[in-house]
Amino acid sequence: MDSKSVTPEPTNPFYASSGQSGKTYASVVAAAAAAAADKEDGGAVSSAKELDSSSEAVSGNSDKVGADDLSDSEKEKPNLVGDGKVSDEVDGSLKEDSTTPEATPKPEVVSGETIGVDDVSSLSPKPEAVSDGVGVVEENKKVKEDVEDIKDDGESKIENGSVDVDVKQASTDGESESKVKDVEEEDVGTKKDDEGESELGGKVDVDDKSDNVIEEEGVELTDKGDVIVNSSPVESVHVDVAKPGVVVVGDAEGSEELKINADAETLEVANKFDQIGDDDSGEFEPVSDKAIEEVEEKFTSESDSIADSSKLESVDTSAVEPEVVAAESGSEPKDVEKANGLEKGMTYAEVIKAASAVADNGTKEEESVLGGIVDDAEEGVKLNNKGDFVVDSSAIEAVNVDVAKPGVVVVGDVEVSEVLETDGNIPDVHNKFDPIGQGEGGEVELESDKATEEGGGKLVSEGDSMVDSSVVDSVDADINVAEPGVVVVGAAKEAVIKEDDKDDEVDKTISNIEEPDDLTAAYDGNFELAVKEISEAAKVEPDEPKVGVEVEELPVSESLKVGSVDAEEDSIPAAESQFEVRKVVEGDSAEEDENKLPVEDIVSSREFSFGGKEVDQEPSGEGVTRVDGSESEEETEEMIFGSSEAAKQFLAELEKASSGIEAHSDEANISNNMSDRIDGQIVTDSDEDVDTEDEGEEKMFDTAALAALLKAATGGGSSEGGNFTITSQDGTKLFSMDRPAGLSSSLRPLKPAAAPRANRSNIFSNSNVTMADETEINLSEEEKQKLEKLQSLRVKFLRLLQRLGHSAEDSIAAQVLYRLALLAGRQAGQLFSLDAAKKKAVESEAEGNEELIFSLNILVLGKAGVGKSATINSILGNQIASIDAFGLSTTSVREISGTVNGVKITFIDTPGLKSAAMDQSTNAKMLSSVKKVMKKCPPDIVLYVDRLDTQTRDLNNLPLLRTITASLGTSIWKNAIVTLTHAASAPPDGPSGTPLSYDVFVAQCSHIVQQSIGQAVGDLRLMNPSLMNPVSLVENHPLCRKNREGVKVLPNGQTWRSQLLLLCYSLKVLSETNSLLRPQEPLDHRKVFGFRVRSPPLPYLLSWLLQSRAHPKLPGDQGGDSVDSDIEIDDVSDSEQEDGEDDEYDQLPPFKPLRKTQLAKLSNEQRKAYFEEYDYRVKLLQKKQWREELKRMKEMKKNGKKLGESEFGYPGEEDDPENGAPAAVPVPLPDMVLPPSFDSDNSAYRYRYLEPTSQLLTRPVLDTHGWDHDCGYDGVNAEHSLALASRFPATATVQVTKDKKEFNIHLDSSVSAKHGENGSTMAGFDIQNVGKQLAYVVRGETKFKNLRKNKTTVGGSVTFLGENIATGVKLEDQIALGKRLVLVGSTGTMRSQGDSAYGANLEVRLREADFPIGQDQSSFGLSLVKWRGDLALGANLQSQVSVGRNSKIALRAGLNNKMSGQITVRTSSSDQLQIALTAILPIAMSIYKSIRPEATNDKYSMY
Amino acid sequence: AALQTLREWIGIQQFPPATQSKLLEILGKYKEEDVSSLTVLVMGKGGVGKSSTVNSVIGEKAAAVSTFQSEGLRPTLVSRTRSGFTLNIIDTPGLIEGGYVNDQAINIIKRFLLNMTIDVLLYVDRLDVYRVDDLDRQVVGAITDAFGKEIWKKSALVLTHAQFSPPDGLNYNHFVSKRSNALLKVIQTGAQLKKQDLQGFSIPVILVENSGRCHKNESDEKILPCGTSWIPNLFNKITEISFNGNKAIHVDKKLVEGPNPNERGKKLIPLMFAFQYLLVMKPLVRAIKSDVSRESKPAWELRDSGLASRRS
Repeated sequence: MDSKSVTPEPTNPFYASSGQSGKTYASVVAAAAAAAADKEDGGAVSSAKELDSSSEAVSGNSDKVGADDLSDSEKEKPNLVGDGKVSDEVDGSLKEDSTTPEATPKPEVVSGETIGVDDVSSLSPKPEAVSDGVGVVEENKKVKEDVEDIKDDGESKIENGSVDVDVKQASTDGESESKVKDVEEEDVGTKKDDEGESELGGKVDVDDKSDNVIEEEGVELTDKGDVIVNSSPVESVHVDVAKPGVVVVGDAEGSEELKINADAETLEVANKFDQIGDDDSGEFEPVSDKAIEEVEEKFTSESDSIADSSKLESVDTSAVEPEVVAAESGSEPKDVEKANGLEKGMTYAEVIKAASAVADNGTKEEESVLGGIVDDAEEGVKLNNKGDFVVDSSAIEAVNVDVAKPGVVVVGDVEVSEVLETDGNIPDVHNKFDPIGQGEGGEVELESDKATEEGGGKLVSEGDSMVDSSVVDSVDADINVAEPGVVVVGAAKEAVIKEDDKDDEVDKTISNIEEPDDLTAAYDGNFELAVKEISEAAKVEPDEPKVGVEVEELPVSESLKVGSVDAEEDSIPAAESQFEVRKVVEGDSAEEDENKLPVEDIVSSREFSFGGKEVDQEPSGEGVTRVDGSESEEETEEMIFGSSEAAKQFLAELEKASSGIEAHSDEANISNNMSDRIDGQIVTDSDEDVDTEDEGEEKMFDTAALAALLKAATGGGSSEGGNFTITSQDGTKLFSMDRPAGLSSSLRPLKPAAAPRANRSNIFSNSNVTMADETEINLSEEEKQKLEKLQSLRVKFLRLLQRLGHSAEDSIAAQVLYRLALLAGRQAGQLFSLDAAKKKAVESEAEGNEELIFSLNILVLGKAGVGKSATINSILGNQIASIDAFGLSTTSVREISGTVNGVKITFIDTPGLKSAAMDQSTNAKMLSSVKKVMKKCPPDIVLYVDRLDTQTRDLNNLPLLRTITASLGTSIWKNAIVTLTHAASAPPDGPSGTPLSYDVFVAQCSHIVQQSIGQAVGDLRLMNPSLMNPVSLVENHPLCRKNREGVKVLPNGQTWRSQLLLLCYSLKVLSETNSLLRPQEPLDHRKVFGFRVRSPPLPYLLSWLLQSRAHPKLPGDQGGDSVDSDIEIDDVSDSEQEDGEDDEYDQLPPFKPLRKTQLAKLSNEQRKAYFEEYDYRVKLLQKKQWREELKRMKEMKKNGKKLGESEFGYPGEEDDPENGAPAAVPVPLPDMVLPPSFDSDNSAYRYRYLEPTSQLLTRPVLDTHGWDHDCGYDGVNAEHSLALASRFPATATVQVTKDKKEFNIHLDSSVSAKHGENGSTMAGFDIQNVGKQLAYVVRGETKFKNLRKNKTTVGGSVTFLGENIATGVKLEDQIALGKRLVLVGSTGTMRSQGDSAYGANLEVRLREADFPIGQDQSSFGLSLVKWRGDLALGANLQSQVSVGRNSKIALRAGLNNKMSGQITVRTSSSDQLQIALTAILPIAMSIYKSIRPEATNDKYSMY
Repeated sequence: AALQTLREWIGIQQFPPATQSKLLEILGKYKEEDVSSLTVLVMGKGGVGKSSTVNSVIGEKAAAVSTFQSEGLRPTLVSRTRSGFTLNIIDTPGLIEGGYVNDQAINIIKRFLLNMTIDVLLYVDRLDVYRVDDLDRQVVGAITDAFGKEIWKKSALVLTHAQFSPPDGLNYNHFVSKRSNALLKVIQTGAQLKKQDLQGFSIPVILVENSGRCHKNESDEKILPCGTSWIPNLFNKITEISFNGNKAIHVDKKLVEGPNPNERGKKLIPLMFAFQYLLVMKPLVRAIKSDVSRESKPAWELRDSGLASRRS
């Protein structure tokens, strides 16, 4: 199996399926799923879903073995994908205690394998191969074995003996009535209860007979495109796909996309399902006869799709072409229930069938037949994936989808997600289901005959829709897409989004059982309930017996549902609604429910109250039956066990009910038609299917099994993923219904301030449990501390949640908790488990005496008049900020504080920004004052406020957004929440004239705003979708609709205030967490908001410090014995010993220099001789002069006499001007070479300071590398030396350069004081540019000449760079070895902010014997710098040699331990050697290159 | 664009009977006045509902409305005839883009309108926005620059999204008057209208609600929160403006292209020449000549010249 090979490593961020590209899509998917499964902590029940075109995935949970058989009599590619999903939930389920470690990776693996097996067989790219029923069976067996193995493992899990049978029949070819094929999968996962309960599950044999399932075309999965499947740990995925694709990722149990092209053909497909379930109790046969399906199921997935598994942080998919992505978050364990019965991979029809089958199964076990739901699958289920969809699984933080085309995305734990597109054909579908369940109780037969649906059911989903699963933080959806797309995300069991092409309307029908309030309460009436629509449709076409039945199970995520059956009947008269709408009881007591278990009593623990309303309003009644397990899992279990009888009853009732339903439903079409279109298109959603499935799931188990299941669900499933899934389901449903598709999950509607569901367990607990096993042993003290902090954060957050009335399962909250859990890492022990945190939170809230230390600073920015101040007022709950509809009410930046839920919130309210481009300077001014306030009160959150109802695409906000970004820095957007006010305003009319749906509207608007922000911030932002800002909605209008508690709610049912607060809290908690756990990149506000502290470049400063400097001297000391002069007085005396030589020059015969003309006449030899003589004489002369000079200085010293300034000058001036010999020391700074003319191109004259002997020397600085005709003089250099108080010599050098880009200044100044003969102290002040800042260096050093040949310097410096101060010390020693060799060593260190750099230099200088006169010298230096653990070693060689009498070569070479270096050869010559040099240059270059190719190589030739 | 084939105004039948009869009455008025056509120009910022207003007025989906898309730069002319009377409505794209007035759009509009006569200008903005800002002024200024101040005398301020409940418990009428006053002030300053420019004339304010959710009265007419049925009211106001005695704005080449600087003062050139010749040159020449004739040479020059003459 590929799946195995693929198994992702948790750490592996990307699963590039490139390797798999060759594989069938399905396989890839499977692999992904498997991977996901593997990854997941025990909790991951990741059932791999498969989407396969060709193969249908029957997801059998480990518990359930889904046997699918599709035998296609004809060519076929029967799609049988049995997903063996091993729901690890088992693990979860078994373990009630969070603590009990359940890392059951194995089971998962098993599941994966099983899946793989099935998949392989079924999925094999060429479906035909699969057609062997036998093979399938075998595989199933394997699965079984696996399951058994699991059992053996000693994990006590009750495997749900659920058999999923998926039969798909697609008969494309004409009307071939398909006969039931016999596929017999004989084993279906049997599950044992460790608990010693009898294996109820026993084996269930399911016979699927689908005759003549002709799938034409077999489901074709054309993988064209890249499919990237990321396993859960992926942080961000970004996919740009240009082509269509379908991706199913994660645990989707069954997600299918079917495309049936029925071109005017009516295909009849008779599906006959005979499922026989043998239980102890009885048998079951579902028979569905004559399901006529039209068929071609075509899966064209051409496109790249990216599916992220649950843990992805952000997914970005921009596909230009259709894609279908179903991503499920494998990471989150799905509910067992889901896993059980739901198969997502199937064709619609199949799904339905499967569902029914499942139901049947359940019934079997229960002995009742519930499921007989007839779907008509009319099937034109067509999935056209055209479009990009990005789906994030639950853990994903942000999803960004730009879709230009239609696509379908299924994300999350959707149990059944279908997209149906039927092309205007009306297929007759006769579904006959005969499920027979023989139980002790008896047999049940469900037959649904002739559900005729007019087939024009068309699901055209045009548009991009994004759905987030519950944990997703934010999802961005581009709904601007002009093309159809359907997205189902989350655990919604059924989310059907329908869009009609014709109408261009997008109808989303999602049955929400939860939060009906919201649904019903459509603010302006804009909000339409899908149900209503349905009902209307029904009205329109009363004739047709279409009944939309929506049954949803909303498993209470936390509570255990024993069995939940939701039956919805349609209000449509035609349909007989067997179930009356039950009263929805909002009872918190689940126990009662359990006891009662009557189907009719619908106990909705909380949310259901609404359901009732919905029902009322809508013609279609929804019967929701819920049994809520006890609040605690444990309790639940007990309860369950205890109430097995009750359960039985319950089940029986359910069965009855269901049977009844079926009976009625026969013509009534239980199958739900979600909406009958007036157009004659019928979209059929099998809500019931879903329902049935659910029921089935639950029913599948005996009471005992049920109990076990419950255990699993609660303990394992719920805690792991099960609950999560469920939650998400609920959420999803709501979500999909209520929410703008594009909104980030963060915006998820709040559950109506429900009673805190403390008992809910969620995924995390499980994972914690797993973690617990892992070991607390190895926790270091530090880690422990971290964890403690983390834990306290978690407690804090949970308390906040509690105060807000949110549950921990709320998508945002779950996300945060999940992140926390992630960050805590695996080593988090029990001590730090979520459960512990919850407990603590509850306790501390109850006690009420523990102060909650949490505060928020919120900066509010936005255009004028959008409601910034009003929002603040709304949040704080009173009119603190003055508002005025017309005037500029806020004229200055203000801080407004208030306390909300015990949290101190400080708002920084700002005057409105202006949008005109001309006004941006005003904005910038305002923002600079904001910045000041921000320094004082660094904001945790930034609200960017705009109006929801005035969004246009004319980019009018761009100027101000840019200004914000420029003024406050890009990081301002990091914690920014886009806040859209006027959220209750009615959506504008869509193109068809009817108003856009609120969801779409909101999604569009938020997308616009987000896009502009992205644009204003720059490309980077666009590329990283995780930076997309979450969107929150706000309605400040006093007339805003309120719910029962008097809390303002939006048209989508969202209670925006608490949602916004939650979002703020979450962001803050997350950022605190981040800073806690990653100290190396702390998220401190200074950084976030652009006050980035630049650490000083210590190595640079160090080298600056280590430089040895000459101390300034008084003029009288020039060339003298000052401590640091290179020329020792001793040398003088030495030289004096050579006095004999002294006269040498004088004794020479007179020598008359020749004129050039005379020179020219000499022969070569003569000339040579002449020059030798000449040079010799020059040298002698210089020596003589030097000696004289020294003598004079000695003299001076002796006399203590000061020399006049005039003597400081040009001693060599009287030299023969023609000989051009270098002047003797001391040389004033060389004047620059002046050009021969006052060419205007050469501006050297501009800077020339004409007074030659002044102590102030000013020179232009020539940049030799400038452009042609650029003046090249960008700066000026001035030097001045003087004596302060006649005693302290001082020098100052300043060089200022300024070009078009930058201004540089470099100032060196120093003052020195002598201490007697052997000491000198120097103080200096330097200014120089370091980066863009100016560094001010104060330094001081003292030099001692402690021995004759040894000088020691001690120094220190303080550098002020920006806000930083760096201090350094150095020690330097210089030893002269003989006359020619000098050794200089220095070492020093520089420190700043706890950071330090150490450095050492060693230099050897070698001079020519008669040094100052001969200029040849070489030096070799080694330097070593250690900084931040990095050791840099560099060697430098410098040599200056005279070559011949007219040339000098200076060579400089440097090399460091990074193997980079530089060689500079500099030649100066008064001969015309240019030509020769040009030859040297390439030679040297090539030599050097051969040595060190990467090294840089420069040469300069001066002449 | 004007050549567009005239289409029967069918949309009128889509209005409820009460509205229809009022409209027909108004059409009758035009007939009385012997006016056979009326051209209405609709301008405003983007996203305020110009196209929707046009559609509401016509009663059919004549102008493409895209909620989030900006429409592009081309104006649309919608012409409908009803019993000999032609109603032309010109829908224009939003004038603001990226924080600036879109001059290109204005130019396109001007060229589009070449040789047409604007009887009424509807300046559209939203009612439910609370602030006016400099962009509004710039838009008004741009319109003024394009068509001249006079156009405001043929204009009305249309406030869309009129079905709206004001915040903070403000009275609806109060809000409307505040909002419209704010906008009228913008128009006045943006167009640099002086008091006397508007003497005896005030720009009427028309409220409009284009949404399909607009409330309706018992005769199925769309009404505003204040109870007026706004479509007839709109037509009434338009009619008033078209008959208000001010001159309709004819967009001619000059208006479109602006005055040709080469033409200005051309005829004066010969005059200037004559003037120069007669009054400037002549006296100058005369003065010079007389000066030369009156020249008195200094002694040294005479001497020098004498010497020279001697030497030579």
